[in-house]
Amino acid sequence: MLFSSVVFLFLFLPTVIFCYYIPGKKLKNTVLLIFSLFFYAYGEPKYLLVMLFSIVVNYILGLLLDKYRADNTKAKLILALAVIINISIIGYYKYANFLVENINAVFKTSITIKDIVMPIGISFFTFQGLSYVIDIYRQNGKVQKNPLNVALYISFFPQLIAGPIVRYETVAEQINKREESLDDFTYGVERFILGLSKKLLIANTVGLIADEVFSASTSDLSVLLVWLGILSYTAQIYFDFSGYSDMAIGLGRMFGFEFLENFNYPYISKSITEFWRRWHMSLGTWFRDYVYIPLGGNRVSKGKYFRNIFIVWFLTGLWHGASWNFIIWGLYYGCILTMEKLFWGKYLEKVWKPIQHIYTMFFIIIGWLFFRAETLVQALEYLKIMFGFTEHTFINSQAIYYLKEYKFILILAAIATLPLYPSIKRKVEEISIDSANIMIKNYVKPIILIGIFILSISYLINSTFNPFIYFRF
Amino acid sequence: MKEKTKKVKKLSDYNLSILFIIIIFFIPILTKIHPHTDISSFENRTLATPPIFNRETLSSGEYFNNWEEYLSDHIVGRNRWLKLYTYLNMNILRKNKINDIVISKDGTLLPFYAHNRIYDPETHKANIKKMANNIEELSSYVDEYGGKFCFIGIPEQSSYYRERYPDYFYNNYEFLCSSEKTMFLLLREKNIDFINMNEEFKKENRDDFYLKTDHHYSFRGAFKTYEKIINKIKNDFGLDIQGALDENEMDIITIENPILGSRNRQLYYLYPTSEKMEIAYHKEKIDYEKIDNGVKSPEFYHMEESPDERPSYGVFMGGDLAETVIKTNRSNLPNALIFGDSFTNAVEPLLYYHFNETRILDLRYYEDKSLYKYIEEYKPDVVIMIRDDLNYGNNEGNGNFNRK
Repeated sequence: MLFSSVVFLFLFLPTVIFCYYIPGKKLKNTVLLIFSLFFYAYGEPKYLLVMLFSIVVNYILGLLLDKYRADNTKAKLILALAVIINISIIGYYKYANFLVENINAVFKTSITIKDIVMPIGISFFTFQGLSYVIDIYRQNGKVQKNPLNVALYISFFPQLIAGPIVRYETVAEQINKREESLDDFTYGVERFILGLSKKLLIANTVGLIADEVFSASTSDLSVLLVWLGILSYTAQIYFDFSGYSDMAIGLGRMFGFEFLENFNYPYISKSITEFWRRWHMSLGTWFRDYVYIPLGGNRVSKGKYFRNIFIVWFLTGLWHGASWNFIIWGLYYGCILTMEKLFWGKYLEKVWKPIQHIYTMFFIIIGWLFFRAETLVQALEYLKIMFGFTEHTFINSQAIYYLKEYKFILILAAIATLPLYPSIKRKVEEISIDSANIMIKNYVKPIILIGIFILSISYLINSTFNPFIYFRF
Repeated sequence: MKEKTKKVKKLSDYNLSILFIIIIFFIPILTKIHPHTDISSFENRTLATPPIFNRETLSSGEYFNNWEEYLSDHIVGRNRWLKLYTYLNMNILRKNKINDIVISKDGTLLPFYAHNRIYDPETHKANIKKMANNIEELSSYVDEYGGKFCFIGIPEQSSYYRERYPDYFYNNYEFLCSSEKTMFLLLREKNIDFINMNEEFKKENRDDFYLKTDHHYSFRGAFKTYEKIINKIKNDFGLDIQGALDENEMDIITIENPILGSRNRQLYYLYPTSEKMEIAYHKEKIDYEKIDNGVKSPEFYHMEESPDERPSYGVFMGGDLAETVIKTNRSNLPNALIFGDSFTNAVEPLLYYHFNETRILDLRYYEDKSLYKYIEEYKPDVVIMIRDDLNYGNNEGNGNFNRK
């Protein structure tokens, strides 16, 4: 089920809010679990079994880890078993086809396997399952004796399908004990509306440009058109994914959960290193804490450091999809980050700030090209067109069409990548006149946000183009 | 410290939550209780029906997915939501393309064609060739019993106004040129009588032949077409009919309220227009009997009941009908059969005047017998096929002569 759907907004959400707040405290987790399982089963009922299997395995292994904590060898074996099982689940459903394709290509074999369909959100709930057992092993969270609580942690609907990847240590205590409040609920509503509007008003609109450009035949392209296509995709992926994260964080807050932030205005970064501290933070910290640091991080020899970087970014790319494009995209960032750390990072800090931004956005945009293109060949072809290495004209009517028809939304997208909203909020809070402060907080802000919500609904009802990019992963 | 700054909360502190809850709770309740309709007149389509529950639809996810479509189609105030979207895009974002309608500088509403619209020229030509062959066969069939056949090609509104697209929009130019060239070259080769109204309209290059907010021609365009058809029948076919009437011989009436055009309908009639419809009655009246789908219906123009209501192109003959028969009981005059899409509607009230009996078919809706059987039964002296240029290669509907 999509958050940006009529069924979610006007059936699922009111029902879950009603059922959550009406019964007593004891039933709250059960209510959330039942609705979360329904949320998952809504689109693909048969894959619910895969998630339930993941829940059961991680619950049992969590109990065993807790039981044999004193015996380090046994605990390590159980942990290894948990990692193997979780990786096998994601490996089978997400990577088996890719693996067979590559084996056939390299060894000229003709191995066939039945076409495996990937259960939605598998990359997210598998990583959460891993987080549960690893955090118990590390004693970063208490084991859950009640299987329903493990099920809720792994399947909680706000973050189930497209993150953020909520680490067990973050919510371990909240699952058992949390306080809901009207303040939290209101904050949750605010985040949800902002996320929904990012998705429906901006991401879907610029996504149309990106999709049309990337589906055009090469002969119909121009230099400016390809730039517009990739810039639109750059905006789409940010507003789509951060919009989803905003909605997830907002929904969590409505039910008393506090998830960590997943995005922090990544396009204002002044280096690629900073970009990855601001983009998909839950994935970055997951790989840092569960892969990079256990491998030794940067406190090892240079050779091992390069190995660690390579492994982490190879896995980051692969996590996004079973395709060489994603792997190259991951390694591309691994290379740039290494270069920044070893060579030009310290010089970059000294140059004029706009240059730092241009440098960062340049590499981000090129990265998204490899991420979005259907094939490596298409990515390279588009790259050549972008930099004038082909016979394509600079501008064509399709490019003018997008510029003229989407000018306001493109400008809005550019402005919305800047942290203006928190800045305005801060300014409002600084207003010392109480009556003005109350007027803005209690009347102006709700009216604006509800106005945005109503506009989003009108876009939703009119919308036929509504995919969430990160559902693929 | 926190305790010190803590203030007493009032209900107004939670206005956002209250409004949000009202919206998400009341919309489904109102959706449930308000009466549902089956058809959206604005979108010109049938709305989704409730999902069917069974094991297959449940396991495939189809059952739940269909709920989305159903709820979206029947949500309370659906048209208002869509109007809000259209208004925002038209008036705030100042877009020229909204809901697949392009607004030209002079206010002509045109259909949007994607820049990467792919049509296969060879397949398109093959389809037109097939159509031309079918027309040749039909024309020969009419010739065999001594009748006359004539093909009337009408440019669709977006074809006539193709130059009015803003420069950066694709205006379907290649498709339209290829259609026209291929169709009339083939008809000429096959010695089939035709009138290419695109050429006729171009000779005068008038602004009033077509409606700006609808995909049809105006009364003026229909009148020009009527003139050409009657002159062709009288002069080229040698049938003994009265020549085309002059505009002075007609009472031309302008309907006061602006038109509800089909293009504007896609914009929820939010595009401001003062465009008006014209209709005409012959000054010199004749007796006639008009039967629509077997029911007597004397009116040629179906006016709205309330004076405040706005007319649509459906004024002409009351819209598309499977079969209309108009008898003037003047056995000295020939009988005619006209078939085609809605472009026939505006010329019918003019053409019948020249014939003893005029039969009009819309093969999209007429199902009693095939066109051949119909012609065999009534043996009209003249058979007129009216087709718009977007459909020259369309062998369905009024392009399918054998469909029963």
